[in-house]
Amino acid sequence: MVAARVLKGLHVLMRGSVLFMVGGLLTIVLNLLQVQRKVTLFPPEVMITMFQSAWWVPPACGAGAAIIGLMYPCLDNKLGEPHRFQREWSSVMRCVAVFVGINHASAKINFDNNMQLSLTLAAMSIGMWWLFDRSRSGFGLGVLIAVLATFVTQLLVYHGVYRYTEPDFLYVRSWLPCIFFSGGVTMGNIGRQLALYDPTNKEKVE
Amino acid sequence: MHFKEEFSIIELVPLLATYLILFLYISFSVSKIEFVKSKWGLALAAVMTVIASLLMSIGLCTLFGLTPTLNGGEIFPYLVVIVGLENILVLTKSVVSTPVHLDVNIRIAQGLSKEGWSITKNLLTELAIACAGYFTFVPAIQEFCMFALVGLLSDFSLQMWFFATVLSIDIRRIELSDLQRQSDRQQGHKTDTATIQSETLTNQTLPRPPPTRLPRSKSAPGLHHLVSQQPRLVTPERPPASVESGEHPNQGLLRAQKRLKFVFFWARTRIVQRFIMLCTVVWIALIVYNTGLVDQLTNATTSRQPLMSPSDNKDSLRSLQDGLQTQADSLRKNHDLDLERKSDTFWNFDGETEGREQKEPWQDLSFRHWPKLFGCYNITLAGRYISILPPILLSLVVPPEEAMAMRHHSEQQEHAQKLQYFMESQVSSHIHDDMTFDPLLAMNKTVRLPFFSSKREYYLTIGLAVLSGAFLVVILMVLYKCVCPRDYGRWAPEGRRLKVVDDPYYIRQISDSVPLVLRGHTQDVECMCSDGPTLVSSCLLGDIRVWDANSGDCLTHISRRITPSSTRQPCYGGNEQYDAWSPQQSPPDLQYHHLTHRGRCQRSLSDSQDQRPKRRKSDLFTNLPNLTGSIDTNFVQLEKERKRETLNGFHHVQGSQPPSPPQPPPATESRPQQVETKSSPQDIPSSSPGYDFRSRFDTYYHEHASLYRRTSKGCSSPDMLVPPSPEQMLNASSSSERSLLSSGSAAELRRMSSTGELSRHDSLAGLYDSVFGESYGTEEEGVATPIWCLGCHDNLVVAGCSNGRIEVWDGLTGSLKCYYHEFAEGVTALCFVNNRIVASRLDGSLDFLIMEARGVVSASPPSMVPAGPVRGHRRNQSYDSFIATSSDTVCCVRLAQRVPHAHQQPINVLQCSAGRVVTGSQDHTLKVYRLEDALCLYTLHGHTNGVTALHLDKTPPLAAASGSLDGDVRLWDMLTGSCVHHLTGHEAGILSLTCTATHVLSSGQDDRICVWDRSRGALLYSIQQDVGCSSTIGVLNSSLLVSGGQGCLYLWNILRGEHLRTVLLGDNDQSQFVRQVQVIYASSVICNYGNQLQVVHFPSVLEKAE
Repeated sequence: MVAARVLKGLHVLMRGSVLFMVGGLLTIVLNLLQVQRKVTLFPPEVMITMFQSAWWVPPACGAGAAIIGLMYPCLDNKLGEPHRFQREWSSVMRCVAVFVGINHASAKINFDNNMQLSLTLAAMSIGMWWLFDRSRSGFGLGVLIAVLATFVTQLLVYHGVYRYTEPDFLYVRSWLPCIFFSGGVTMGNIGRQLALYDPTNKEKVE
Repeated sequence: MHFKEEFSIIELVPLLATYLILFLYISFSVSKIEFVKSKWGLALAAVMTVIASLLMSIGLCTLFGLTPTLNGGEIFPYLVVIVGLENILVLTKSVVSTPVHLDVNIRIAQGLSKEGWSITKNLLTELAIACAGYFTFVPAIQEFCMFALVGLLSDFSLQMWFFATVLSIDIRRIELSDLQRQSDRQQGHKTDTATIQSETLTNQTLPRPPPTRLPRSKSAPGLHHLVSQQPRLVTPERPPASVESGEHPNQGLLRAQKRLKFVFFWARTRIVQRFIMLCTVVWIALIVYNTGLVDQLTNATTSRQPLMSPSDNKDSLRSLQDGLQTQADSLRKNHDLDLERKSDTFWNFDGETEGREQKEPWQDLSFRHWPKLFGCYNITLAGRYISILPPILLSLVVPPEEAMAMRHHSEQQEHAQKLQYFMESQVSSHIHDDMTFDPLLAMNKTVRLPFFSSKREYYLTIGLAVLSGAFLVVILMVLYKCVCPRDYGRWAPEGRRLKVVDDPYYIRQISDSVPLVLRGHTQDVECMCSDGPTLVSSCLLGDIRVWDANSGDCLTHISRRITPSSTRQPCYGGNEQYDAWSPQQSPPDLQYHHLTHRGRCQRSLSDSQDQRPKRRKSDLFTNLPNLTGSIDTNFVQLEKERKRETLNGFHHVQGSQPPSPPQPPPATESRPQQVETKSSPQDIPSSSPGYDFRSRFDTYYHEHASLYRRTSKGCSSPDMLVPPSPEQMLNASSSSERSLLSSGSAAELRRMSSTGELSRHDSLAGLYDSVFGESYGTEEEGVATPIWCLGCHDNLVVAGCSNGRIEVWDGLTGSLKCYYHEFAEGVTALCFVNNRIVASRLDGSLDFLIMEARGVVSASPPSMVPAGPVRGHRRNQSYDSFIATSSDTVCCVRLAQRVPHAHQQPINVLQCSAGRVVTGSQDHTLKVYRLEDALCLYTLHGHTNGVTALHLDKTPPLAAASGSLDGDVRLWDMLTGSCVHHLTGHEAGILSLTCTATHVLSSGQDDRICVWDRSRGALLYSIQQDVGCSSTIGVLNSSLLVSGGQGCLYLWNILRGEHLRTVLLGDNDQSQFVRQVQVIYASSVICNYGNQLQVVHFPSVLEKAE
């Protein structure tokens, strides 16, 4: 019994670390995307400046990703409805690509107004959820994450810890929840796929 | 001014990340492909499909006016992800999971049909999403969605046209061994029952429509499973083509050849390698072109090196100033030197914009000037244009002093200095008045090359042009080599050949024919044998008939009765007239047979014979004289004669013997009586009382005896026998002649009878009778010794009889050549090979006889030569063999060797092949003898009951198959004498056995036909037949089996166990069983059906497959 629990714990740790790394990398990459939009021209020292200013963003996001990725399969277990939709690595990759695409779109496309931006992004996020994860638990969890993350960000900004280059605060607020929602769904997908490899997991590997 | 997009490495990171994710996606998707020959090939094809579809979409969109504003490289991964590889993989999976043994196009069709709806559903979903994206009214997204839409549609069509093709090619390339593995995997452990039960036949007697339920083996498709499942050991001689079409092995070969041809074509022409090479070359050329030439040629004023430091610009400015200075200083120097320096300084301006005629002052500004300026206003210049309008020059004449005054005071000093220099230079320039110095002009007098801004460009361009020309030439040569074939003749027939192969193939069909009925026997046919075109059959009556198998004529009819003369008659075309002794036959039958049978008949003779059918019954050619001539119905005359005779003094005789009106004695019944009555008057002196028979019947008997004498003196040729009687009878019109004829025989007979016994006599007739009539008392009258076995070869018919006699008849003339009668045990089986006869007997002994033909042509009296060592006499037989002379040769049969106790019990079967004689007997063993010297080579043990069936291979591998009464079939190897296989499958005794090269077929008393695989010794299947049907089987060729049924013949396909055809033999109410089936010529079957023989031809024709 103890061995099983140790094994399970080990597996959880492995999964968590993988998710953490993935989350961190994605954050960096997406940050670059965002930065590209905001800064007119890249000075060669942009990386350093970025890291200097907000070094704690990638780890924090990584941690958040790990938590999300671990929570999704747990929720599946608790609720008792195993996720059977497209449990393949190729669809997980597709999900990640779509997530990056959403970010890319939000960064590069010039929207007329914020409402349009937020609507478009919301539509895209929900579309992504429908394509890759049709579970209600996933949806609920994603919405929860979005709300929570926006709240946290707001707190941080209020307290001056993190400053936006973009003065338009509403603008930021428009795309942040969608990004977090889709990010949550993506991480959940990855987490579920990783959980398939857990030998002590109750879910059966198809 | 155009500020290009920033191109830093950092910026590439997101792009790289997206491409990385795309690559991961593709690799994960592709790893799901299984069961195909080359995963990489299919993966490449899949990726190519998607990329091609996207390119198509971009092209189509551009064609229809959509100007792409998005950066293709950035959105490409997203487009690929949207289009997705899922459909392709689903398609692959479904096609690959179809059964392996089907045709490739059928597999593709099945796979497509299985997944068609889901693919279409996916497509519609994605189209809906893209359309939804289109309605966001954001131009960039709309453009993206447009690309995605067109890309989806083109991808969908490309899947069908391109990817399905590649998939089919790949499947076709799968090796046979892979196929086997796949089939094993596919079917898992599903095992079918080894035996296939077929439904029983429904018997219908009247009327006889074609059987509604054909005997069909239930799991004929199961046969495929069996065949493909048993390859735990893959036998190379069993190609999977046999699984698909057993009777068309050439089809599998054709398909294998096509596949091989295709593979060889790819390998030979190296198309893939050449294509890759071509692409690489084109790519390199493009790279060179892009980096080298374009920048040099176009006016790259705006496209400066992005990371040029501002210090460079300052240097350039300074150098320009220096250049001016040096120009001013080097007035006195060489003009060329100046020019060169100017050009040197000119060349130094590497990163500078060159080729500008006039440099505006604002162009000298730093590259970062504008971005910094706009950055103060927080406006990004990336991808934007700055248009600087040219200044409008206004002229205002300003006196120099005022201009100077307006300037900065520090400038005034400089200007004063410069003015001073200028003055001095002007002065100095007058000294050198050969040249006018104008720094500006001089500056302008630089070498200006046409179209090129600098010399370096010029040289670079020339070099690149030369290189490109060389490349072009090389490429053209390579293309020519790979596209144009060396010899056109080599390619054209291949294409044509490939096309021909695609034509529908021909299959061999067995066509049916109406059986040819050979009628003639009155009783059931007992034995039959064939030797090529001739057939010999013997019936229960002891008649032997020789037929021609092709036309159906009866060539000879040998009626072997006790009386010799009557038996040797040739059939003149008809086969029914000359039934010498057929008491059962009625005249109407004669005519019926005559009419129904086609053949050459000498009608005259037959008609004449028909006129007096009655007389034929008791003609001269019997044991006893024909006493019909003595019939006298003139009773008045008779009375007078009687009165006359009584006067002679036979009164007392009359009392004792009432004068019975002499009735035509049927010779059969009253023979012994005649003898008695004959003998009694002989003993009694003429004066004794009693009826004087002699006077009445003497003549007949004399005639009869003289006839015998005549026949005995001459040879037993039919020519000499026949003419006397029928012609004489025809011509003889008076009874006196007849009486003369008959008297001759009577006298002869009297003479014969004077010796005492009719059975033993010196004359030939007596000999014949003594020989033929020893079983006189045991046999029924009028029936010849039953023939137990027949052998024929080269127009000679050898018959083995139940009384141990072996007779050799001439098949063409119907004459008895010779016979061999030493032992009295019945001949159970015989084998006639070349000039040797091997006969086996009831007591288990084996006789090896040699037939020798001597060319003596004479009618010499028979010389009784005791031939061979006389052993084991049990009777007073002084003569072993009877030498008869015919017109051509004299042949005799002599015993070469004899194995008295070959077996302890009767020998059931005997066969001879390749110099070996194999006997199987009731004592559970088989023995193999050598034909030349009767040496026993092996004794084959193994059976647990009497051996009832035997089959020897005529061709190597020389093996023998034997079946026994307990249902076991054993395969023996003739070279070593060991049992190769022991096949069990029958529950009752085996009736007949036959082998092909790959199968062993047996029919048993349990009404089943079992088919075994010969190499493995495993039962393939068994066919259940009607009761009593399984007595005989034969094989037409390696795939067709003929078995006899009730009034019909069944044709089966050996490989599949399917019933192919039923041939009806009789269409009357008699449903007799076919007792024997023999195959001649590998396409005709002779069967023994009642008292008829039927010949059924099964020619095989090549027909086009439907």
